[in-house]
Amino acid sequence: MADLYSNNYLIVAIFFILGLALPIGALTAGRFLRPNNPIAEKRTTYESGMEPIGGSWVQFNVKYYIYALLFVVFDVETIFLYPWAVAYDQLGLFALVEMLIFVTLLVIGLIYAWKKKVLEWD
Amino acid sequence: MESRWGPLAQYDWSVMAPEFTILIVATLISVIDLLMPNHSNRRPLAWLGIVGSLLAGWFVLQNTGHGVVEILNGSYRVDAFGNVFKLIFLAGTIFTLLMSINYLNRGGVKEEEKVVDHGEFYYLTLTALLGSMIMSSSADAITLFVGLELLSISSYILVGTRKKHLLSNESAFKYVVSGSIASATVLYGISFLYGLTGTTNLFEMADRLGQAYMAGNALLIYIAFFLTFVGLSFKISSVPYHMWAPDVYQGAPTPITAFLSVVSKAAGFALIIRFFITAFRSVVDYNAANGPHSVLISELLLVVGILAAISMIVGNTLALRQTNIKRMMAYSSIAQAGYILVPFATLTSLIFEQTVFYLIAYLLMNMGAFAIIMIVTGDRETEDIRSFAGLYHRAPFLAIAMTFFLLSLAGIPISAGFFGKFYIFMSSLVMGNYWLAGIMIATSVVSYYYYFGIIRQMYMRPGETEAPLRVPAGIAVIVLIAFIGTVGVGIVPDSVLNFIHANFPLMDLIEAAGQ
Amino acid sequence: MDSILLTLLTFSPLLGLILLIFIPRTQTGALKLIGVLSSVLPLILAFVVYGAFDLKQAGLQFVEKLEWFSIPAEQVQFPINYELGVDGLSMPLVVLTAIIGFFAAIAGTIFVDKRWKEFYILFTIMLTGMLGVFTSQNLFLFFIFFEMTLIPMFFVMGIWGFKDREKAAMKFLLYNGLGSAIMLIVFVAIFMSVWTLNFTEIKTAFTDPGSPFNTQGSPVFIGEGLRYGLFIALLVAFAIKMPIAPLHTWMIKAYTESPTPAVLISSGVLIKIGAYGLLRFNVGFFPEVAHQLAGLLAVLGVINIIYGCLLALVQNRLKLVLAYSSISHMGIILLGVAAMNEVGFQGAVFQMVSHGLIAALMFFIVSVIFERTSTDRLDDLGGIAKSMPFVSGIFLTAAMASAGLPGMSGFISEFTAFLGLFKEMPIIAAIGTLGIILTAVYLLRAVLNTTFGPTSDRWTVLADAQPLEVLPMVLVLGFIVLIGVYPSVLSEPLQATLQNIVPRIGG
Repeated sequence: MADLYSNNYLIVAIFFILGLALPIGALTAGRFLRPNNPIAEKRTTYESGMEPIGGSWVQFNVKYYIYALLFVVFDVETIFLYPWAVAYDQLGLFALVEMLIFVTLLVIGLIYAWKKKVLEWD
Repeated sequence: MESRWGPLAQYDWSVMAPEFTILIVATLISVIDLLMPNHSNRRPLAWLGIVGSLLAGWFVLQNTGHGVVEILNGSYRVDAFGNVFKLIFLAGTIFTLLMSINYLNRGGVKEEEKVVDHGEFYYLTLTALLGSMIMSSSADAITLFVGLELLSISSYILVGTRKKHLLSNESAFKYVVSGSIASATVLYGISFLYGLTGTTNLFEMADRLGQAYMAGNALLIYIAFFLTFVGLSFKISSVPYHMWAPDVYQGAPTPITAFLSVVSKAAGFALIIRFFITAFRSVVDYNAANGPHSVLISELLLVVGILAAISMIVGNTLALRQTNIKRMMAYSSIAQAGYILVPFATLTSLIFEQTVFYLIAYLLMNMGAFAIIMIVTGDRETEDIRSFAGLYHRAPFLAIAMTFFLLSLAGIPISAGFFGKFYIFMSSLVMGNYWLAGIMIATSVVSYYYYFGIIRQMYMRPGETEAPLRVPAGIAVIVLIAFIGTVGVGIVPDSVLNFIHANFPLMDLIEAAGQ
Repeated sequence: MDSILLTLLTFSPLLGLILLIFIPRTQTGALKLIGVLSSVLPLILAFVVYGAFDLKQAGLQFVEKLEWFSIPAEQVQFPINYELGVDGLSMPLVVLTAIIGFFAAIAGTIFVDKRWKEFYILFTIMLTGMLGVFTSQNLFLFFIFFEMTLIPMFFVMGIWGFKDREKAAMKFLLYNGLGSAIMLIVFVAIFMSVWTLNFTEIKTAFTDPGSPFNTQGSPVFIGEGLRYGLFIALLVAFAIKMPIAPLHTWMIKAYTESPTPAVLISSGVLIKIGAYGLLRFNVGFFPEVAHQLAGLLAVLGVINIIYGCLLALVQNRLKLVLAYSSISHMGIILLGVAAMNEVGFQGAVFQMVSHGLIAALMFFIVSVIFERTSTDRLDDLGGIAKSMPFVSGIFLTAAMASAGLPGMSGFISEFTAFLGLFKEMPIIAAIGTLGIILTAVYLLRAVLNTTFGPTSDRWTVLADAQPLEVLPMVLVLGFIVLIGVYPSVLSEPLQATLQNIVPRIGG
């Protein structure tokens, strides 16, 4: 039975090896197939087609972090609301109340962020 | 009804009234805090929290005596075991909030010692309380982990609320780092259990774990047990996850130190006992040479016993060298965790009563002691043990109360702590665990040295000042309640014992719902 | 049966405590008066109990039993009761405690120099504890009263003691704490094996061959190993209390650094608790084991006697002489116990009472001298008999009593103890008697060096004993002589009880 348990990990191991092999294989194949023509423009950082300005070792404003956090909160909210909306008929009114509570809590979170001046840049 | 409201409405949500109360009050406090003018006093918010906790306590009492109620597909269960722990948490939180009011509003404090945001302090205490309540009631590995994290994250912030205080920051950081490692360890252990049983529900886990053992996965079960136990020992600050305690106890604001040492620790014990006894109870070795025996009792708990013994030794010996009173209490609390682990390690039918009784005694004596420590160290502006010098002449009643708390912590009659220890002894000796009882008693004698060191300062050393110490009403109330409790429970321990025994049939921990 | 006399006696000092709380700390006169009166009440009650005590009866008298609380468990309840009672063994010790208590209360008025209110409050708690130790008939109660003597003593030593008081108090606490901790383990272990805490019931369970606890194959059987383990553990616990060398170091420190009343209580009563426990628990509960290990006890006793005597012989401080003298006298108690016969036990109890009185008296005298001269060094003192004839006379008499001069309590107790042992182990007894000679030598050396010889100029104007000092000295000396010339006051209540305790092997 112990074998059975470790056999379950065989799939994990296969996935692990595949995961390693694919990028390595793709990159190696590309290296041999592509033409080699390095120019200065190609070596610059990709910034959505804009000219990069300054070094890449600048300090980012910590507020980005909180922005990102707020974004994630609403992202997750959407992810959570969507399946609920799809299964609304099965879940019933109780789930509606629950969802309202959930949204209320998020609104309180938003009020919190607003009051703590997270939404202002300075 | 069923069709209109959906399947979720079938659960008896009223049993979660205590948790909802705390949740609503915490939310309310946070909203009010946001809408209040910046410089107005946040004191009423604490009173709101206290009222909420009292209300929640009333709901808990309403829930008792109704047997086991399970909701959310057996992941959350309200039973006597959880209820009695919830009462302990609520009482501890009320004490903490009372202390906090005085702590946050005391005058003459250096700028860097101040807690910046009072409202935050109050509602985070409540969310921490909510976390511990969830921990004590969850019958599912995921729910209990959510409770654990809610308690942990709230306490990380609470420890660091003195934002400009270097020690406070350092301790909060240490707490976060070691707490995260502990949580990861717990998760890792639980993942093994999930791997073995394919369920997170503790009761289903219990059935399948027995099969898994017989199927030859003994080693994995041991690993799962030890990883989970080691991780959870963080919450009760026992060996091997005790090293955060001294720094965090010292750096945290004193009411939070008291909270960590009482509520957080009690929550850890609630979780440990519920989790291991529920999940591991049917792991039985049928092939053993001398007949079938429970692996939990005969093998796993031996290690718990050893860890408890090391906790007592480490806590009590390292406390001897401390000069900072809060650090000393931290080591003392490590040792106390060792004592409270003894009933679990010996596992008799009295385990619940013994643990709960000792935790109640511990709640009373430790809260009383920390209230006095807060007043005295705040007044002398130092946390050195010498701040207690001459306390008897400054505030005789405070000194006498402190003496009783310390005697109780040391386990000397007539006090709640003595009877708690006596009670714990009974089980370790009936099981023939003489070595554990021996270590417990020997380290208790060692603890006399440092507990009486404080008594020595209070009565035998001249203080720097003879000025009478002003005791705020809130603190006086805590000290008085704790004092009456410590001495009263010491004189008539059966008042508490019978109350627990009559109202909280703790064995229903492992019974199915609806009985 | 429904007498509440013992409860009254045991808790009578607390009446004083309640009064003391309400007296302001500035009213020193009133505080001292109440303090002394709160020790007079138990003294009177102790004599009332003694007068009503039926000498012919072997069992417990004045028994009181109340349900205190019970520990609920699955099917059963473990009752923990409030049980008092006295028998022939505890009766003399109760009276001794009351006398020493009174003595110490008076000593408190003379030698305590500050914070009388706190002193007498602690004193009354201590006195209740001591009376309770001897009247309790139940292990739980015994332990609680035992600790009640320990904690106040820590405070008294630490607050009112001499220069090195805090260290002495700590040492006292840790040693005795360890002793009581060991005792607690044993008590709980006994409780867990026979499910009762009552002395008589435990004794029956352990010694009655018909009891279910003794029959192999019965549900509960207390094996030989466990009995030996418990016996040894108890012996260690009481050895710390008595003290038996090498566990005696706390006592030396305690006797030199404690205030006088604490020393009186300690030497008069507290260390007797160890001997009492030895007889009551070790011999009472485990007679076979005691019989087997009697040789060990005897050897320990002889070591104590000789060790104490030799060290007393070379000390240069009166207090140290008396401290080591206590150790050697405790050795005689051990010898009496080791005899394992009625005569030996009688000697042991005699010695407890007699040494309690004599030691307290001698420490009192040393304190009287110390108070006037500020020294207790033998080479500083000398010739104080000229200025203090009365004190010196009492001192010499007490020393003679301690050395075993016929006509005093010391003689009769040492004589009976050795008589008992000679029947069983003549060689060890013979070595032990060496101690008596040595005792006479070191006591005479100490006393004569102090009282006689050339009088230093410093000591020519010392005041002799004040009336307040004379009264307790004469009173205690009276008891010493009374026991010496009329030992029946002590032996009569003892006889019936001791017959019960003596192990009857094979009987």
